[in-house]
Amino acid sequence: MGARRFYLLTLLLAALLGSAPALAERQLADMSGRLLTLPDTVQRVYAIGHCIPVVAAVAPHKLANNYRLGERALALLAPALREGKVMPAQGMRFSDEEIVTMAPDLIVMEAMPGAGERADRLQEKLKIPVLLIEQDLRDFKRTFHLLGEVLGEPAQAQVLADFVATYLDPIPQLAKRIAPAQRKRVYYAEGPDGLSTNPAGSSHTQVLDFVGGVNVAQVANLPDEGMSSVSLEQIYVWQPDLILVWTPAAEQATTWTAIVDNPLWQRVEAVRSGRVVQIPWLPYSWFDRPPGSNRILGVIWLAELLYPEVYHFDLEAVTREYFSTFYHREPSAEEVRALLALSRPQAGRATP
Amino acid sequence: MNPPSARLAPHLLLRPFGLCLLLALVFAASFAIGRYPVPPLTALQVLAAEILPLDAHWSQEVEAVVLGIRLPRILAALLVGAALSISGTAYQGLFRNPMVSPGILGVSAGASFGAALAILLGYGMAGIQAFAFAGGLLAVGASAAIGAGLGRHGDPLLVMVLAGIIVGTLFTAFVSLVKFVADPYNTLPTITFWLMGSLDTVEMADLALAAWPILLGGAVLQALGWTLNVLCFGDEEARALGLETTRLRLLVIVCATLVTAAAVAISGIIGLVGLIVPHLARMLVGPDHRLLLPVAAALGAGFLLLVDDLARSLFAVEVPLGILTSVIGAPFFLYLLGRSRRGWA
Repeated sequence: MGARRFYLLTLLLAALLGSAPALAERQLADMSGRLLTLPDTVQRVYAIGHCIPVVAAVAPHKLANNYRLGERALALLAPALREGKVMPAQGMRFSDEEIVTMAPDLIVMEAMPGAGERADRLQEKLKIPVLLIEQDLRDFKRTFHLLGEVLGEPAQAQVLADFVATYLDPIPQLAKRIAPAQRKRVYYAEGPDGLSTNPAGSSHTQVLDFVGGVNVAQVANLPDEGMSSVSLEQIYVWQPDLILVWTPAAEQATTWTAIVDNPLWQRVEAVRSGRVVQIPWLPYSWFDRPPGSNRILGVIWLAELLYPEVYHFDLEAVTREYFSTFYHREPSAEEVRALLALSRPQAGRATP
Repeated sequence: MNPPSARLAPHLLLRPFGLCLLLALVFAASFAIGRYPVPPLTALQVLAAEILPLDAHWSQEVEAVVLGIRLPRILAALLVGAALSISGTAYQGLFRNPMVSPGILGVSAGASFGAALAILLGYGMAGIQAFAFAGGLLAVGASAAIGAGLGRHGDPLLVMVLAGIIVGTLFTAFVSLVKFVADPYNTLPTITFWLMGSLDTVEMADLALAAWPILLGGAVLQALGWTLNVLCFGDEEARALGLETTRLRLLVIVCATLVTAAAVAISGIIGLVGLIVPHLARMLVGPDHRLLLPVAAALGAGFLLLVDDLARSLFAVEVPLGILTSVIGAPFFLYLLGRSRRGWA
């Protein structure tokens, strides 16, 4: 009975493997302070939701899964991020059994409020250690170092942390020096019609707060997932200096078009004078959703967009460096220009 | 048992008159309510300038706020409030049950599924509305077909209500399925907000489309007012009076469904209005559908307009309308219920 023998062998092997890590494992605290027991060398990581970009940056070969991305997004990633990744059939959720089938030896999850308990339960159920990491823009250096240590990529983690130290770290200091009168007031337009937003303080608009922009929606105590509706007349009252447009179905620029083509929006000065900016969305959004390490480039892009006289970034050079460091593939000069042109959909439509 | 008299008692007509005055007042006041400051008088002048030759001394912003933003929204609140109340009244009469709401045959669940699917597929507002409308009709069509098919030997109404509950549950499950597979960053919040109900995305073009089924269905229901009265007494009495009950009942269901599905398509799910407004209307003018239907329409229109005024003016970001109607409507209704000694139907 070949099949039975095979099962027996598998069982034996599983039992052996189950006891083996006792020889080669280590203890380590994650970013919420939970103590974890990890295998000495982690081979395969399942990154939950918006932890995908950060794990991809540190150890592309070890990442087991990826978002279901379009052709244009995939073309910008290194082969290590395109090939052999498990992708959800729809949306981005995997069932417990799909996770087990993926056979990761580590799960990486974001340290959101209440995540500790969820991580413990998941870990208990799947018998796979769950590592919690911070994705606040101010924590990324620590996150990279921790992931570098856990995944055995300390050198790459150092490169990533250096990128953050060079470009991101000076920003809050410079932002503090911008006079209140000089601060740009920004409306973040979400939803198919642009009449949904996330107010200041939300994790979805942290990039804006970080570079010293003022979110016109100052509303306390809203659920963080946000997308609260706003009436257009409220936007008349706010009269933002700039409108940032989110990125669903961005290929068609649905929301951007809904705003720019609607005569009622023309009563907003920013729309009349063409200051409606589409957030670049390749390979992931640069600003939000997922709120992961993809936002690091968004910080630099938005800083330069709002206050070129304060920050003086060479956007093309930084974009190229970011893509080769975080997505492991150096884009051509033409690709970089096309990426930056995504923020102006009409100009973007002209280029193929 | 006598059928209801063919004439309406004159003393009952006084209250609807007062109601209409009140509605007109709320309607006018609504143009002056909102986040953008517009003086009440200016708001009315902007409106009047559409028909009268007035000098425009106001800014373009004010004109855009009053005519472009508030007018469609106010009309939408009136239309949706009236639609939900009319269909609620018709259903409660038809099923002879005070607990029935417009969603009883699954129209809301079907519309929710249609809308969620359209959002998942990345369609714009027009697609969402079309899918919601079609989903609502599909769900009620399924309930009615099951009711007609299985109810032949029993109580067809009871079977239809049961079928409606089952179909509704099924479509709610489909909504959950769509939410489950939806991208939690972009699609899921959009679906969740649509399900909470709101009028902030309604534009004149949407209104013009949705108004047809609502006005048509409402007019036919109004014409069937006396028939509804008779149907309330039960099938045997209705047949004794020479009514083709099965066909008439189907006609009422078709009309009420058209009305509800069109309303839900532009507003999302707005709870409680279709359930409580018929009762409030009955407290005011009694159970005669010829008067009850228009009074319920006016009451529902006024109620939803008032609540939407709050939804769009309380905070800088809007409170979803479906939440407010329930939070305000439920205690208000219980209060009236405690005070009223009038019967149900």
